Amino acid sequence: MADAAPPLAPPRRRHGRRESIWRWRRGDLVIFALSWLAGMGLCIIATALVLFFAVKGAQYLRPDLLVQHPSASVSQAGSGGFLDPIEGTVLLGVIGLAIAVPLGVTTALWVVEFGRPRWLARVVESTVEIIAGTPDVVLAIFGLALFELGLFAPLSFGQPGGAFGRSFLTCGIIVSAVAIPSIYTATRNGLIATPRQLREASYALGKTKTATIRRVVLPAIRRDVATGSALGLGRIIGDTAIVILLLGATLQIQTQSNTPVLGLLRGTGSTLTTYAFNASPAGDGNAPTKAYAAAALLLLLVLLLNWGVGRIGRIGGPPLHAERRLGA
Amino acid sequence: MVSGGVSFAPNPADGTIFWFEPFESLASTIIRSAESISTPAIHSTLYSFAALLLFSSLVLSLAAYLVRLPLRRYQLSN
Repeated sequence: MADAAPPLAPPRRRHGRRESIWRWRRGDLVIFALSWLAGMGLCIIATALVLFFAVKGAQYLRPDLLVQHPSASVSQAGSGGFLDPIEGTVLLGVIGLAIAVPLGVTTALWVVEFGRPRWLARVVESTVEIIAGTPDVVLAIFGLALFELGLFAPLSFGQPGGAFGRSFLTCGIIVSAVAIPSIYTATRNGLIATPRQLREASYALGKTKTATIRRVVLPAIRRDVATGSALGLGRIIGDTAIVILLLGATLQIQTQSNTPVLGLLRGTGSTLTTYAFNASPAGDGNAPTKAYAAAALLLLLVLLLNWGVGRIGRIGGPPLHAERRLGA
Repeated sequence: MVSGGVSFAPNPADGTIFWFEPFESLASTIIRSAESISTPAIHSTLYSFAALLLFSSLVLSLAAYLVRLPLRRYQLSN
């Protein structure tokens, strides 16, 4: 009886000898060295920033600051904590994402899945790029001009005679514009990378295009949407100009009326960024240790978001488009 | 904030010290003067600054588009 044939071993990859960089041309070496230095420089800057604020945070960030309301005081000891800015940051993030996620995802869906007429899809893409490139202070001043109009008075803090254009609602509407490009780009890239066979299999089972998008495409790109949302949230909580101009940057949250939710949405307040700005030597608060503590907390939030983005990308194995790239 | 926030125009004729002179950018001027935006003169000045910033960003977006245009032919850009 003949021996069973040994199992076929996978072919070994042949790696060529790595070319020594010392054989490169001098110009290429200079460019390589500059690129290496730039990469290392960025790593050093990021590490120094995190270490600096870790030290300052450990020095000044105390648990009681997280639960005390801020107050105006000439001394740092009497200026309270930053509970209101934390609440303002959370509320603004929720409002901004509640507006930006549906807009960003549906825009990307329309551009990739329908995209007709083609010229209109190109216009939409260019518009998103223009929004991404527009300075946030321009968006803020545009929002101020818009929401000061009597037509939009019910949305903002004001008096019977007129509107100030400032509230959580108006600020959330405008700040959502800085998050839309991140969400749009992540969703669009996810849609483009989703295998065409997935859609074709759904059509073969008799599903309509709308049902395919809802039941097959959207679940397949949920990780891309989550990643874009986390990046967009990072941009929202890091924004300063829009908050100063459209939220009023008041020390405490001031509600417009006693109506439970609407009064708060029409009220003014601040976020951690504007609190840190006002408390810093450049602002009027004159509480540098509180500014360091707020900045450390903000950096911690951003680092947590970045960590969350990485985790989202790994949950449940590689995404469908990654499997396609791997040949699975 | 770091640039000094001073309404001052650095003069290249000052020599090396030019690189260390404080200045104020358009964006920080808008933020610093936001409290006085209801004053007609400041109102129009700040909106002019914003228009200038918007125009600059539009020109940069257009430049980015023009740079990417030849790359699209080779599918190196979307």
